[in-house]
Amino acid sequence: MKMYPDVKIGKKEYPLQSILFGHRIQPSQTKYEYLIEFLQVAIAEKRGANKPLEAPTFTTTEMFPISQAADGQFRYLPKLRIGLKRFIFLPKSKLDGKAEVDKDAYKECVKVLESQITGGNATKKKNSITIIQNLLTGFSAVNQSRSWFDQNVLPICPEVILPEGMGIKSWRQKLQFNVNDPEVDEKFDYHKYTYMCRGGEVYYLHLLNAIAEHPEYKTVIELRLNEMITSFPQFSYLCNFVQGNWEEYYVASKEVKTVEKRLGIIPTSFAKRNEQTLSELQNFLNSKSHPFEKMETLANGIILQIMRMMYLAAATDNESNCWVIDVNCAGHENIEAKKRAIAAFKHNEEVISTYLYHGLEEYRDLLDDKKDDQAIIKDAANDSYRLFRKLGKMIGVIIPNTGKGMRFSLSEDIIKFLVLSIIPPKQMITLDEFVHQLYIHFGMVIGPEQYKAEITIGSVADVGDYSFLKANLDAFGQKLKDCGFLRDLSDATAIVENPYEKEDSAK
Amino acid sequence: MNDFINYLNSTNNVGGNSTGSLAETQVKSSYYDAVKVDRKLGIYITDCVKSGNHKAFILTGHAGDGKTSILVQVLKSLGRLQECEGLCVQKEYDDFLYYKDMSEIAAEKQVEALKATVTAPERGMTSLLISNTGPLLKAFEALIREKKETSGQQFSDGDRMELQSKLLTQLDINEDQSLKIEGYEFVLVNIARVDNVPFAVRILKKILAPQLWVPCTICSCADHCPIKNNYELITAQFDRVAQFIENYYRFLYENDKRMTIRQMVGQISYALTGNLTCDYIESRHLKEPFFIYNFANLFFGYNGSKRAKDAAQIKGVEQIQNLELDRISLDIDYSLFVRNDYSCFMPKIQKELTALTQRYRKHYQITDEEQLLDEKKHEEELRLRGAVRRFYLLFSLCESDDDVDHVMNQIFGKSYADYRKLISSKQSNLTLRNMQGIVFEALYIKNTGYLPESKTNLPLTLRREGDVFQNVMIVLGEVGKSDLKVIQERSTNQFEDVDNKFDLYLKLGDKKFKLSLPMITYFNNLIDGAISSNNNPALTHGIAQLDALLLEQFGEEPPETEEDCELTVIINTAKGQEIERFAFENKKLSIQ
Repeated sequence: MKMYPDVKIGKKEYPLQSILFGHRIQPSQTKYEYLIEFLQVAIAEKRGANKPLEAPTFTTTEMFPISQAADGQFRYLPKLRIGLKRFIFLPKSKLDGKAEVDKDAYKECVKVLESQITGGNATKKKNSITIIQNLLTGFSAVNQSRSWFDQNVLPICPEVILPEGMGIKSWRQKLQFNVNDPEVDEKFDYHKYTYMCRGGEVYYLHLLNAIAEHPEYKTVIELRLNEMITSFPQFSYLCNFVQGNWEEYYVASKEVKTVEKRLGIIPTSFAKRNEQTLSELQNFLNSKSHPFEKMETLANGIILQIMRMMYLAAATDNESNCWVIDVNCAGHENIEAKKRAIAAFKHNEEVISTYLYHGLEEYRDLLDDKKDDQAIIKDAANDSYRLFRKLGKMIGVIIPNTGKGMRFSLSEDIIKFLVLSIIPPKQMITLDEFVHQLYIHFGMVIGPEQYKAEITIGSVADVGDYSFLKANLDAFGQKLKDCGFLRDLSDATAIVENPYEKEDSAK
Repeated sequence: MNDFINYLNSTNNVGGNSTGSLAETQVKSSYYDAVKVDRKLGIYITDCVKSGNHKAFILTGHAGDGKTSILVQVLKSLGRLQECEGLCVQKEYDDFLYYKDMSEIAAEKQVEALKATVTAPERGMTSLLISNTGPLLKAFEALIREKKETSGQQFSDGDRMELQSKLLTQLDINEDQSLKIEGYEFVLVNIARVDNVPFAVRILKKILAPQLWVPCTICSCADHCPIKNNYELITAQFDRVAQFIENYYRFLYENDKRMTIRQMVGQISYALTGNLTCDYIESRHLKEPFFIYNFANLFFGYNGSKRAKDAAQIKGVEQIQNLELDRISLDIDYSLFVRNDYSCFMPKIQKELTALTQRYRKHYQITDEEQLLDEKKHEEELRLRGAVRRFYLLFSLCESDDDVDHVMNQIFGKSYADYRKLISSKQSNLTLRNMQGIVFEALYIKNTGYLPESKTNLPLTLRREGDVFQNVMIVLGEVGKSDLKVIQERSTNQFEDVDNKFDLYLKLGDKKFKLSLPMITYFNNLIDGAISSNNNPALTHGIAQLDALLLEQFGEEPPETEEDCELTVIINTAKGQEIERFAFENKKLSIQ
């Protein structure tokens, strides 16, 4: 199989699942971390060079440098700003990760900031620091008990879009705070990928590859992504106030080394979705919604697109890997649709499993000889279809959350992404057309038409009676209506509308 | 024996005796003229024919909304349809051309029919084409494709989407102006977008016309006939009953659960007759006829205190049962159920209910604890209460309109009556200001988590969606209470059958935001302490839009440089709300 970037894969370099589904997705990454990690690559400085010490063939801060490196071969240098992260999260994180050096650094940081506040008495100054902290932690992306350096802020401004730097206990415990010691801010491991597992990189590579194929989307997507993360310059000023003053005080900051990262690989089969991903993203980003609403919906959308391209990668001529959707709308319970959806879901997983076995045969010589086949398949299954289950549940396209009878469905949040990404802003199409587009874009089987089309491919069982699909479609209409995207126009015709205005054209 | 009863029974689909309520069947009935209601669109088309100002009309809408009836109205007022005469699939006169239903025309002829319709004015004819939306869109596509291709142009997929979007937009907003596409000019009317709520009362009035009920006055069953009893009850309290019915349909309409005219007629006629026939009443002894088959019970799909079999097939009954209006507690509950005081009804109903209470007295007297826990008895009592409430909703004596509104607000929501007034007639500034107060208070609570108390400025805070806790929020702007104006705008569509129709908007700078009934209900709930809008996703995106609009209109421009930036934050503390302001200068932060 060809990979993108088109590099030669060394023996034991990647596990089977990474060759088949890109390097890599893992269960510990939460949905906002996909978005943050993706944006982190997008906004980082990029350098063309094969080896870290070579002089770069180019440097750029373009999000998608297709004129310099359409092949995806470059390194990127994310900004670290560990002082800012420490300031935001240290007081409210779990005790475990707090090394003395960081506690001291934090105290110093607060002291410095207090001294940089003018007006008000000492208490007021102290309070102001707490206010700033609370303001920023309010936008925390992950509500889990984690060490401070593993926490993330929603991408409210570019300054908070930071990579993961692991504060390894043995390293940190040896250190003592000293303004002249660069190791205070440097001794973090940026290549651990514990929570930022490179899922965002996989999505970035997919987009880069897509834009290289369809450069007409480059300008608008870069512009809109940039607008989304720069809508609130206030946050940038605030973050710069913290980090800037910290760096000034902590003199060794100038010596802290930058970090260079390389992207992983994705299979070229993801390119099947190139144009669809871009047109969806364009419509979605062009819809003028509140920047927050946009981020939260986009986080869901990215997962959905990733899932679909991975399902598609495993598809074959007569196994389209379509998603039979049980709409599951309250008041429209539909046992037959549920049954079919469960059966189809099982079949999906079989298709992926078969794909894993084929992959094992094909790439056996690239994999670890010491590991037996069963262990390889087990690992690969854990990081592919078992993980898809988790992702699907996270964004509400797979129900139920626990228990048996897993199947595809559509949550309100995902419906919002689907409407905004399929229909351009302020436009409307008929419900039938919308359902057809969902089939084309995401292989979603909702009504009888889509099901019949799948029967001819041979990926679903022929059933004599399609009435349950009609009921399923009606339920979908009701769900869209409940979400405020559908209006009954007249007899048997309903329209689905993207109610959002179009974002203003470039300023 | 009154044959009109059979006619009424034929208008709904419960039971097997329906002879069909399709307009083309109905038009042949001799009662059709007695109950039909003329519509403005029909008058307008007739005028076009008579005055020679020929136009092409295309009519779509829900099944049962009166499309065919409009055709019948035009033909009758042109004197071209005799009583009991049926319609043709298509017919051409010198000055008028009609197609009764596009889907009755063979698929390959549909484009021709459409073409004939839109070109009729050129040939000195007014035309009327009735169609379902699906075939219409297809036919239009084919027509435009043909026209473009004969002139050597391409008809791309993009053109197709654009044409579809253009037609769908018109069908959605239903403008009364004519539409021009590729040189064809026509008036496209979506009758499903015409407000039909007032028809309910007009039809009820026609159904109750005394001449239709003459046979009942001389009937031998008159003293125990539930249908005649219903007729008399409603005639005696016509305004009161009409108000309930109209408000109920209005409530459905405003909640996007619009009923078609056929569905309204079905429910009203079923409520009158319970689908009983004169033969049946004559030949059987009916138990408690005036209670079991009372209009109030039948309208809700009940026979007495039990649900009537199959009645939920009637759309209006199904919806009213889903809403469970008769289970909502009322201010009057105590005097109805504890004191058994029925003085709020007229004597005839008082008598009926008192007799009912006596019959079921044992259920009302819970003597020992065992009975108290008896679920079956408890259920039965609840059912009886439901019945009494149904009577109350339809028949309670109200001295003034305000009293009626008070009853309606209890079941349809606190601001329901105000909202209805605001969309149906010009209101005083005071009413508008009240509504403004509700909107302001609700938004304040939503934005800050606190009651506004005496504050007059609404901070526009930056909040995360969902229930993520944020005790410090950044303020992106402020709106003065007086800048949140609630305004009424008159709808000017000449096909609307209502004389006065207004839309309610929240005016925000140079933009406006439509206030719907569910939205206002949501605002009231917020004020009453409801926490999230998650239970109704329809509202979440409406509210997201309102947020975006408020920010667009009243948000401060994002600062261009650090020096311009003044950061305002709201802090929720145990003591209440505090506001802090910060400014940046020279790497320093100043507190103000």
